[in-house]
Amino acid sequence: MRSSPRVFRAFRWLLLLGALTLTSPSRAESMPVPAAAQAELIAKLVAFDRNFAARAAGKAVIVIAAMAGDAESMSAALEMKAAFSRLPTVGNIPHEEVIVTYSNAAALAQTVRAKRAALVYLGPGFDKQISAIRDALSSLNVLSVAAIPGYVPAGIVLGFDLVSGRPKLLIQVVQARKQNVAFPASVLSLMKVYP
Amino acid sequence: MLGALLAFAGERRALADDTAALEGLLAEPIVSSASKQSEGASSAPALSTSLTAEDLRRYGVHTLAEALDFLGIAVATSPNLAEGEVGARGVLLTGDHGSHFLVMVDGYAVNDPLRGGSTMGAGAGMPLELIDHIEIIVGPGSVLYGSNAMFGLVNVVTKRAKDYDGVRVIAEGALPTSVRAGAGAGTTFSLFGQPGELTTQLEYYRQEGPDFFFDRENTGVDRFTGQPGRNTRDGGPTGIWGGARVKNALYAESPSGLLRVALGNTELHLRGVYYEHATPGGPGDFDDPDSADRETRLSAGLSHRVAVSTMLDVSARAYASYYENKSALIASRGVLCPFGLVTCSYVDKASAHWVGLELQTTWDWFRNNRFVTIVGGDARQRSVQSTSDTRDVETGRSLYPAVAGLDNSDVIVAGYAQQIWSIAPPVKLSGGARVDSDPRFAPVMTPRIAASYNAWSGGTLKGSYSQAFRAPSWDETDNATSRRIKADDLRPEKVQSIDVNVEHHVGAHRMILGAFYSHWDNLVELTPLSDAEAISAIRNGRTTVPFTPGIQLTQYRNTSKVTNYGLDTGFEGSLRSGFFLYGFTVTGALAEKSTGDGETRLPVAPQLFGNARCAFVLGHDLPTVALASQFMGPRPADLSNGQFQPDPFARTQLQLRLTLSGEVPRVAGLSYRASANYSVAERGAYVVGPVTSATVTQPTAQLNPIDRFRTTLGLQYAF
Repeated sequence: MRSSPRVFRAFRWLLLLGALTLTSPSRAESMPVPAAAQAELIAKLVAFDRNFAARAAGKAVIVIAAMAGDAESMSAALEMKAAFSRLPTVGNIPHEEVIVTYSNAAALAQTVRAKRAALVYLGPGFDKQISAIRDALSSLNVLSVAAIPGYVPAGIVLGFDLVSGRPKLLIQVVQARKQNVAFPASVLSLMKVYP
Repeated sequence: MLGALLAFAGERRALADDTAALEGLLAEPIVSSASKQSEGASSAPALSTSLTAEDLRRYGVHTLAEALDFLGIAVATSPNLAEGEVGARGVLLTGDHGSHFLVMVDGYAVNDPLRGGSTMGAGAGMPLELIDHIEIIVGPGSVLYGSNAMFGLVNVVTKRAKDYDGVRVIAEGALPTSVRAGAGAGTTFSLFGQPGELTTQLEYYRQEGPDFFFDRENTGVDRFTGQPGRNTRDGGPTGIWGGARVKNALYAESPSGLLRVALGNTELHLRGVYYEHATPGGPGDFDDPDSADRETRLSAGLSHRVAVSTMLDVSARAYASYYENKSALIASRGVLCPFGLVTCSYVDKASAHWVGLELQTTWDWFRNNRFVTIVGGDARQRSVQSTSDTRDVETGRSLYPAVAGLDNSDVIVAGYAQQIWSIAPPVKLSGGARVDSDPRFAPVMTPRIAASYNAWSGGTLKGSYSQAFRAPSWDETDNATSRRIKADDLRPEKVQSIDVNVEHHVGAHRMILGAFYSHWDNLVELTPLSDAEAISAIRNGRTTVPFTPGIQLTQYRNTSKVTNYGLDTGFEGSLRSGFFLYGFTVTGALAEKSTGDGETRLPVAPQLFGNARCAFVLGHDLPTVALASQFMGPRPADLSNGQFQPDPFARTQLQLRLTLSGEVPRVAGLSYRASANYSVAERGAYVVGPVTSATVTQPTAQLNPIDRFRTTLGLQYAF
């Protein structure tokens, strides 16, 4: 049995479109844990940070950084902002989210200082900037959170991974100490701890 | 069960002042197969579960079939001395080669291009140590995946390199019956400024035995020779089949391998499996090692994803799959080999391949993931060839003219769209439809609408209406073999289903309660021809087989409908921060098959089945101790439609498996797993042997024997 020429033509068009997509440039890896699940986890988790309430001072400002020119990074930032906006509180505290376009680590640190942010969130697209961001945030009283698991061993305090189809929390304890983040042992036992 | 409920209540009281709520969020499975979007299982538009790699290891799971049986909900497999069969929610369609479940590895369908079949046993080529988790979506799933997803779909997701780093060697065996040896590796790298990773596992499986005893069957006087039938190549005309242990005809061999390479957002996926196994309970000669099936499966996939803008995401997947099957049946009885004192070898060969491309666009209209449209298209070029030959085993000469069988190729095209709308935080709606165009049939549309409502803290109500279909394979629509005539006018099978589920989680405890109603139409079955039909087929040249009284000719036909409804429930969780784990599932379902002759209970399909498990994770150098069980209520055997009086019935099955696993103390990287499996039932639900309906000499049927007790020991060394 042979198919009609029209079907073959449709197949050729699909092949062409596919080839265009397959040969387009690659981008950064995507978030393994959906934004909604990350936001819920953050909202619950930060309540256990002994310094979060003091840091937030009545209103938790969350700076969400997006890499300039990276659609995936900006998309993740928008998703996270929307996911946070559906939650009444973060760490039992009212909250506000601000998306900032990343230019360099010093500017990000300055934004965190200026806005008295309690939490800075990094979506995808920062793999080459992580060490600079780590250094810039080291002296600040802020919880840094990453969507990409590989950012945590490189110096972001908290991150998310998907292991066996379940979300997994990751923590860099040295960086946590530097940024005045302190979780009790009962919470650390639920995390993968990087020394 | 009572203990779990008490734990559930106790945990609820403790919520306010501990980490239970956080544990609950961390225990929520994330699935991506139900709607091609990453989402929590409780709000996914179907009954969705995810089996973890840790559970596969700690409960002594060796195959995908065992994973479904011991850990899955609403899904059960039935062993049949070959690859087994799988069903869901009380429906199991015998002889379907697994073609009603869509099985995927990392999102690539591995159902074969010839019959749409899938395997879940030892020949499935699933590298157990490389599995990260298994997503099981129960219920019609054609809306995004097209043909075959009638029971649902199983997506085996393999580990990323970060979770499979280094090199490991694996050896596991149920000595002296089977052994599995393998090696795997995972690494990350950087190329052209892009992060990359590679994971692979190669393994070899070999099984010899067990040497089951088959009861003796008297095949009576051969209608062709007028003497008692011959049931072995070199045996005399005794009329006796079985009555001895199988020494030669219960074996299997399967080398397999999987390779995944990722660079940036591009992934290459290669997979190959060879599987050879004997068919000891078939209608041919007793204990003949040459009655066997040999399958080769090769597949390749290349995918790439691009975030074009904050609103639009585009992904493309190019894929190719090749399948080859060679099956042989050795038969000496005149009814199967009507040439006097000759032994026939029926050899059916078939190969098929497809090459395809799927493009998918995801539109996040308001850039907040609340109103998302997925639009995609899939085009596939496929071809199939087959031959069927009957030869004299001794001389090799053809006894019938070879049947050319299939030599077809075509292109099938499909388009799908799905809209997801999170109206408000607790309410999520989704609706979609897929249209599949196949030159053999009118286009088939399969819609799905679903809603989830987070009605209370931790609780979700879900409802859905969905349809699915299965396009009959080329083998079913166009093929003929020496003993099967070509089908006349087959139509696609269809199922429509209504599902309602309640899910509730408190801390690390999760409960599911569901109800379902489904209706199946146009089921395709291999139907035996009556004598009159066989004579007509021979007269009209639809087979080259000469007429013999009692000749067994068959044809694929749309013969029946099935009505199916029932309840399923599951409960799982952990106590003391993962020290004690538990879970159980129960499904109760009725499935009635309607044909022109009336209504009957669907054979082999259990009405009541489930599993229960618990594990103590002792920690330090101590082993994890796990007990898993699977049960299945009594069920009619596959030939239970009046072929024998009384109808053969499989008794209640209960399997118990105790497993110890852990790290070997003082030897870094070496881990072990030891398990003992006991089956209460001695027999399964399939009639074996040559007698398929009662005769004067053989009025009763015998059912397939089951391996009742087996111990397995496995070692894994990672470095």
